[in-house]
Amino acid sequence: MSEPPVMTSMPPMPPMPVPEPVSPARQAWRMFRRNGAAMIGLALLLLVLAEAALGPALYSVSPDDMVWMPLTPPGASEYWLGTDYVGRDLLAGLIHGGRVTLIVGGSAAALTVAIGVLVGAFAGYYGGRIDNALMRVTEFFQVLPNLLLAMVVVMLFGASLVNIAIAIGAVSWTSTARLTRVEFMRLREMDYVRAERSIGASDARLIWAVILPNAAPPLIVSAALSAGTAILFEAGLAFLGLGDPNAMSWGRIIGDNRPYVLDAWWAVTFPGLAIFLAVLAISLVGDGLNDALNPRLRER
Amino acid sequence: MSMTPTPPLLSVRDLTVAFRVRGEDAPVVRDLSFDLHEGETLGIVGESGCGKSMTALALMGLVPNPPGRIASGSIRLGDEELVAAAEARLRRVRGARISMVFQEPMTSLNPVFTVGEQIAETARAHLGLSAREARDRAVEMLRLVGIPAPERRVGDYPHQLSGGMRQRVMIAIALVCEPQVLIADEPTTALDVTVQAQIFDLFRELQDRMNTAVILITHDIGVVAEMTDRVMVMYAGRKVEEGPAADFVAAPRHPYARGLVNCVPRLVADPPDVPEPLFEIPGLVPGAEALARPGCAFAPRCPRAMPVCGREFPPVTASPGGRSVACWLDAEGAR
Amino acid sequence: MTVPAPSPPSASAAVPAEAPLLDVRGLEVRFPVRGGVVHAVGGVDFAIPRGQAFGLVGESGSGKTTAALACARLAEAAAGEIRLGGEDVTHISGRELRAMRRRVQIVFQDPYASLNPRERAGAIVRRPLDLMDVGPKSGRQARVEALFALVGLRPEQQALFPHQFSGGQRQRIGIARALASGPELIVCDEPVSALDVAIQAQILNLLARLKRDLGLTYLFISHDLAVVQHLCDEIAVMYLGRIVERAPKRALFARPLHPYTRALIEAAPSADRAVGRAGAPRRRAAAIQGDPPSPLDPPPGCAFAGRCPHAVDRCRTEVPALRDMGGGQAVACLRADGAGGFV
Repeated sequence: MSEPPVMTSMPPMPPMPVPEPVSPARQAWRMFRRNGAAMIGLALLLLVLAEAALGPALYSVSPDDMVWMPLTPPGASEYWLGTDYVGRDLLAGLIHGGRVTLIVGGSAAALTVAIGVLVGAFAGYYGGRIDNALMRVTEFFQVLPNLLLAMVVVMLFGASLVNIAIAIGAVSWTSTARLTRVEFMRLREMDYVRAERSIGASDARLIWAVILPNAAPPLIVSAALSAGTAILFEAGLAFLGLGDPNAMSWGRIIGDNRPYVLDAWWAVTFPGLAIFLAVLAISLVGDGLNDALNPRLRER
Repeated sequence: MSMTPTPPLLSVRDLTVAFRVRGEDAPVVRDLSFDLHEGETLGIVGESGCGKSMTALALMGLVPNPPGRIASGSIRLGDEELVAAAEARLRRVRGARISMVFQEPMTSLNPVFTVGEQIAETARAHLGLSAREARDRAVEMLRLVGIPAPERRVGDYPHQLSGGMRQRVMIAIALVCEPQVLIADEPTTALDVTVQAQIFDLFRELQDRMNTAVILITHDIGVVAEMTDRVMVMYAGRKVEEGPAADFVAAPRHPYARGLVNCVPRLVADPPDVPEPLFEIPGLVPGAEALARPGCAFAPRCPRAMPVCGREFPPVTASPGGRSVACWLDAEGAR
Repeated sequence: MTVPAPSPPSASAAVPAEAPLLDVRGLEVRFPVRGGVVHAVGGVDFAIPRGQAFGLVGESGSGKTTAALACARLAEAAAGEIRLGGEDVTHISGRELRAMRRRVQIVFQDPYASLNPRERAGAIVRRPLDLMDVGPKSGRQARVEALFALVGLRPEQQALFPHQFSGGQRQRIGIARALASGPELIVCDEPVSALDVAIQAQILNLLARLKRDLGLTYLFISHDLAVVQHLCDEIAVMYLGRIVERAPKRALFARPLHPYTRALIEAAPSADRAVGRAGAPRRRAAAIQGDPPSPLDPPPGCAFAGRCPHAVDRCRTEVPALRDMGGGQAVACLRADGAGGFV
């Protein structure tokens, strides 16, 4: 043997400064900030949201009034973007329609996430018979043709904004439910969940306070993307004439002006562009969140 | 068997592997030099992050790039220089003259191919065998690594085999081209001790038969003592001690190596009723920042650190019997 | 520290007059899998006197972790009885179960998986105090600080998140959490096997010190015989869901009776054995061949028979019961004669 061990007890820890606490959310934000495309998306999204929030107050022209000659091209009048087939101001339509589109898209996405997380969390956490029953229900909704079901709902219950949002939410929650379920099944086996159980945590606490926050990253990404999908969905319904007749939305402008597309390109192009930019912004942010919230990429 | 005067089979000189982190080059292996002779087993020991696995990947030409790269130094296998060799050339060397067995037999095999196909694939790629010959070779290799009923097992998928059997298949793949150098990175960590013993028997047997040189990466001093001829201790990317395994285990020189050898509980025939406290290396496993610091990276944890240790990396002091140590205590003593 | 410290336990393996703190009889745990049921634990008996460390050793798949989880009521016992301080806790629930959890805590294997990544270290250690309502609310912050100090962490580190700690430090947080409710029994599930060797010593010394100072009782799970030998007073060796040998530490290593126990001891790589025999083959050939059978498809008779050098026909049909061999040693082998030989 060599000389005996120099010491056998723990000496004081070397005086290392304690670093600043860095929460997982802050880590994710640091990562997100470094992502150029995501930051552009975020800027664009904030712009769209600001427009929807403040635009109608700043631009007082009503989107429903006939203000000029129908089908006036952009730049030919004081109404910059021209007018639609009944002479309504297109710019006013875009500004007011943005608010409606985003509200319908946002609330439909919120509903999608709410139903999806609820179903997925219970199925994934409890497993067994509860899982089986909930997954059969999910499959039932999954095989129904989405657009058709939404159309039926709207036609049966009327084309109000609330009904449209419910219709979209009701048909698109299934993939969120499946994602949530898989995350819950994975996380419920983690030792920290077991540790919580060993200190007497209730099922409710385990589901909502322990597992859900840790399952959140992919759910946040999916929520962002489902907001984009919901906007497209709303546009699709409005295009088919199933939009709320009392609320101007981007999809409805396109739907209304569809017969005149060859004479008045602007009446469908500008709202189309608005939808495209909004969905693009959401997708970029969703992609950025996906990278920022992925622990495997974070260490780079 | 290790101290032959013949030129070494593998010779590594001043190898530095760096990773690009936030625009800056951070070394993970620094100025590493060592030799490996035919038929010899070299152990590499150290904690996680000490650079032992990265050294293995560098030898295989598998440093993940980006963000990593071999920043400088040379790796010679026989008379061939491997650093900066063309990828096509490396591919011929990798698997044929140097091959590697990984830690995790569960994830190192492709689940959608049979084990026979995976062995045969390597044989065909490097030895130019026909499909028929390659299959025969696969059966032969499975028999060689001690898998019962190899004619039947050759058609099994990885999930049909136990952990020990999978690791044997990994070894069969690594050995199918009769490589000159076999690198084994913690090859038995995921296995049970009774199976580990069998895998080590297999290593010995194959080494006797093919005279393969083995680099065995491990954290287990018992494995070092039983399996290796020579051992190299790494800390924070650098070699801090090297020597014949038996001498090293009996009397490690570097304060870190001493801690490593003494901190593990030993299995004894007559244990005391009340446990003696184990020797402790204080502090934490060094992070990436420790590798970039000047001086000896172990100094902050070293019970015998001197002012000079924090300023400058110690010179390597060689002593008779093929031992060397990079520590200021020895360097000062030699003066 | 405000944890009540009972008088230091006698370190000897002699059975004290007091009833054992944990008494496990005929414990069975089963898991449903596709196409059947796995008998992860198939009838296990052991008892741990207060203040002692009981080691459960075995290879992966031997059921040692499942048995331990069942003792902590984190896996459901399919049969058998678990008694804590004489009281049957096998099927209690609700308030009784919560009270039992205060007395039995667990330290997990992987410190990277056992701490909630979204909680600060201080909150993690405090959580058991709040959930199990330990002590007055006003004293809890001070108790968290005392627990941090007890396991060798600094109070300033409470604000940090798990990812900001090293593996060894995370395991210290896990130990502090387990100690928070002032438990009597701590189940240690491979608490050092995921750590670097140099850090293992720190944690093993900490566990030994806590056992001595707080009079804790350990159920210690490990695949590493040397670690179990170091820390435990009594040891049981498991193979495929059953205990094949159980003995006080000294007896087990002085005179292992089961062929599998012997194989384990011989297979463990040893620096001491290798040194001094310079030259020629430093390790003997593996004592036993083959792999452990799959728990999905256990063989009839003795599970070890297929790999056992001493097996006879009877071993392949008859399941051996654990037989008392005197001196606290028991073995489940039809052929062991109790003196280290085979009849």
